[in-house]
Amino acid sequence: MLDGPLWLRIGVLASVALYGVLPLIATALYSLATVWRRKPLPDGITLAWWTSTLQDPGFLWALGRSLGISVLAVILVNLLILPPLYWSHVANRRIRPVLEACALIPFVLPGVVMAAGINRFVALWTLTSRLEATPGLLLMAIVATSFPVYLWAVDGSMRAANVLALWEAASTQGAGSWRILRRVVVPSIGTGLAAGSLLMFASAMGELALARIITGSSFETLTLWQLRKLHGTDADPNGVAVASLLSLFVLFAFSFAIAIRNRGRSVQMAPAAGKG
Amino acid sequence: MPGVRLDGLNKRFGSVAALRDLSLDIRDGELLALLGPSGCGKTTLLRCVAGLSRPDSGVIRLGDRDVTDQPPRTRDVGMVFQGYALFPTMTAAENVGFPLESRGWSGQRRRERITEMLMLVGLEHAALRYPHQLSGGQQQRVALARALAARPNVLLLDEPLSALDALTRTTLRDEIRRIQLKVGMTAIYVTHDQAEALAVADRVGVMDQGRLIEVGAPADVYRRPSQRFTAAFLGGRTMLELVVDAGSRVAWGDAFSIAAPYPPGTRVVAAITPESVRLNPADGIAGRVVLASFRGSTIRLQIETDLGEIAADVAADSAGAYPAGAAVRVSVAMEAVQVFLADGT
Repeated sequence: MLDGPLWLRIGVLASVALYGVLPLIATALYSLATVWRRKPLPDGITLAWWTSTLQDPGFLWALGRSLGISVLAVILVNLLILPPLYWSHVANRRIRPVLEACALIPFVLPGVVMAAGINRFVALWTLTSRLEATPGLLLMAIVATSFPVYLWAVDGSMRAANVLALWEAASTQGAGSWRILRRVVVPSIGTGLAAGSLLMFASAMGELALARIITGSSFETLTLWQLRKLHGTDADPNGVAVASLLSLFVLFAFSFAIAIRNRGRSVQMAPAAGKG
Repeated sequence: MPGVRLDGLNKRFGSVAALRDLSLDIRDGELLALLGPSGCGKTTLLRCVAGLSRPDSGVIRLGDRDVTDQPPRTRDVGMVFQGYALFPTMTAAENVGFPLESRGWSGQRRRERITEMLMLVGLEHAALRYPHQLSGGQQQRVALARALAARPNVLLLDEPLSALDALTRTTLRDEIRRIQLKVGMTAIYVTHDQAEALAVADRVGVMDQGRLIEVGAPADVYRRPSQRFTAAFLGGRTMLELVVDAGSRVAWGDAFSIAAPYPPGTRVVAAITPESVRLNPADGIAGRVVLASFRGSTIRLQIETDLGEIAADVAADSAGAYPAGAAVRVSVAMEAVQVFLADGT
């Protein structure tokens, strides 16, 4: 708890709030600015950038691609990571070091190196070379590089829920492992699953390096569209601000839905100490 | 036909032997309490019976079925865990209904059984409450109802009362026994609390370092333990290390002198229950009260003598006669003294 006089406490809190909110306010103002020259506020206000961006088929397609690939990434990470993580908690602890080692790779290798490596790797065999530069490969690469955020959120909630104790109790009551996962474990770690899925979604929405190298302009995602609009011949930085705010709204809506569902319960995102 | 038959169970965790050649028959409908200090292997044994741990060797039979290699879900046991392990997102009724759902009970039959079980544990009014809305005692009642719901062959209880306050423990302990007798189910009750074990069980098994060292009726195990470990573990006995004298007797000053079944010079341990110690008799050895602790109907006195310290129980209404520092004389009812080899178990 912060000690000291009231003015100091309010001042510190206001500074922190300003630090967090100021970039958002600036982006919002820029998306509404007619012109903004060396002054604290824009010269004028207009909705032109919003209407033109929302009517731009290129933007809408890019947003759709990003949303689609992000939703698929969330589905895929749940299908690929949840079962082995569950199994590592209840039956085979040896899976855990493998998952943890895999989760460290994206933090060690730069995204561009991984993207180039993935592209080269699939080109090695005829069968896999069909995947080269496809959205499917981009999806798999996003899942492979972003799954640690999901892993840690869900792992933390599994520890907090003491999934092993729940599994043992349920298995002595005649339930098989899949029934236990579906009926007992998933409802008990709902907050962690939602948080992990949100982080995965956000990570996929913001993915740039993989998209740029694996698919490039053949599958323009929102981040690639923003990059083009910043530097391309048809540069539209105000439109980029509009796109940034829209993707932020999507994430806020997702977070808000989770917060409502969990009614203020806190989420344990980081691995906690085991119960022993 | 025994309810449970364990034959030659062994289980190691690395270099630690949790179970050593453990064999035990539990009669159908009997409640056996497994008693022992922490780490003696009693929970490991229970987990092996439940199928949550696999013994390295040995056979586990439930009724006439060899279940040694079967997973927990096919063993037909009900288990109550120390930490309750209720499912947090299910109501009390849904928790009780879960084993019925797992075993394919139909809707109407299931609902009737849930109501019956909640009534059995006195929680019909709390059917729609979630675990976090229930007290510790209520949660344990739900756990008991859940364990019994699908009419398993064997009920396993792993320190079911250890997380509860003293009053709830006593109430629930008696209730568990009442319910077990009512449904007539074979049960294994693991605890480190001797009062709990002696109160609920038809028989008590005492475990030490992975071995089942003694099994018997609660009164027999308490009054006449056959093993030194049991004597030391149960009843708050004073264990006096003595030597058999030339007349083949074991004596502690003038407090007692009894014949010993060992040759002169043998090192022995005399076990003395606090209730068999008499104060201020005509003879005995001189001592001084160093500690008096209130225990309800009795006062436990620690008395220091020149030959060592001994515990004695006196009626609570005589507490005023024995304040700390009071001089007393001590003797022991000879028939209550038990002698064990100092180097044996």
